[in-house]
Formats: sequence, structure tokens, C-alpha cells
Amino acid sequence: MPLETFSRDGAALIRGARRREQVRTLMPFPMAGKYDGVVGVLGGLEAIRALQRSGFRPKSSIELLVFANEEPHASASAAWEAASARALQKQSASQAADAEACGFLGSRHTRSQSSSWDGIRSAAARELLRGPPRTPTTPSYFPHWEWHQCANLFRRRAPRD
Amino acid sequence: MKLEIDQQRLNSEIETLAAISDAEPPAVTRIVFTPADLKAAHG
Repeated sequence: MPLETFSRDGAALIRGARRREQVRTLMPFPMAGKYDGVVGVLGGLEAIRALQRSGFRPKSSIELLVFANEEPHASASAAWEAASARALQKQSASQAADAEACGFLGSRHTRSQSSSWDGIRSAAARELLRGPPRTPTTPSYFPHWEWHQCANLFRRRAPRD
Repeated sequence: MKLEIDQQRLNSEIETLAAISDAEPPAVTRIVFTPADLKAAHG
């Protein structure tokens, strides 16, 4: 079973399997702890499994997103957050105010005007395709291929049912 | 709806991955494309 299958609206549904391949890129640095990076993914995966076991059927797709190299400024995850916050702005002024107050909108560099989920996905993909920041904040042991590997996640065409 | 986390499975997965490391426990080091990384990826 693939890492993700796609619903009719194109959103990824994580169904387990291949998780180790996913986790392999998540050790954030040498001499890390066993929870670093890994637990954030496996925890989310187990939460989805728990929902599946309970028989819960969401009205919308639930996605588990993994970003390699996500801590540096202008990362793909920051782009995702910013684009998501834009979507919130369309829905609720109070939510938007909260997002602005806590810095959820991200920096000017990572902000996106996109408000649709397709737009959010595209914004994150574009950020990934930009590659590492021009002024690297990460050690050289994070090779560029990780960015491209992540970008491929967004390049995949969603198969239709 | 009753939600139950499979703690045993979750902990087992974490411990399994933690055991695949180039560093002595409790540290974990898996540089990409090293044998440790490939082992974690493919078992």
C-alpha cells in the first residue's frame, strides 16, 4: 500500500506502510534523541490509526505531512503554515487575528496569497522547489536531495477513483 | 467514538528505529544514505 492515496479532492490519506521510508529522513541531526523528529511523525500516524480503528469517517481528508529540514527559516512547513493561515483569514476574522498575534502567518518571505487548499499545496511545493535557504542555517549533512524528495510528494498526480 | 492509542506499537516503532544508529545509545545518528539510514528505511 502506498504511503498516501488520494481522495477525489486530491488530498492525501495516510494509510500506514512505508512509514520507515518516511521516517528515514527525519533524524534532525547526528547524536539526536530517539524521539527527535521520529515521534512527531509516528505520533501523528498513530493518531490517524486510532481514528481508523474507531470507525471514524471524516467528512474531509486527513493528511499527515512530513517536511524534511523544516526548522530553518523559509522552510516548506513555514510556507504551508502561512498559506493555511491565509485560508483561515477567509473563514474567521478572530482566527486570523489569533494567527497574526502568534506569528502563525510567518515571515513576509514565506507568506502566500493562496487561500484554497490546492493553493496551499502549491505554495508549499514552490517553497520546496526553491531548495535550501541561500544562507544555510543547517549543517552540510542535510543534502539537497531531501528537498527534492519532499517536492516529489507534491508533484505526484492524484489518481482519481 | 472511543479512541485508543496503541502505545505498545508506537513505542515499539520508536525503539526499533532508535536501535538503528551509528551512535552509541541513547544517541541516535542516521545520516542519509549511510547503511544505518538504509537499514531503517528497508529493514
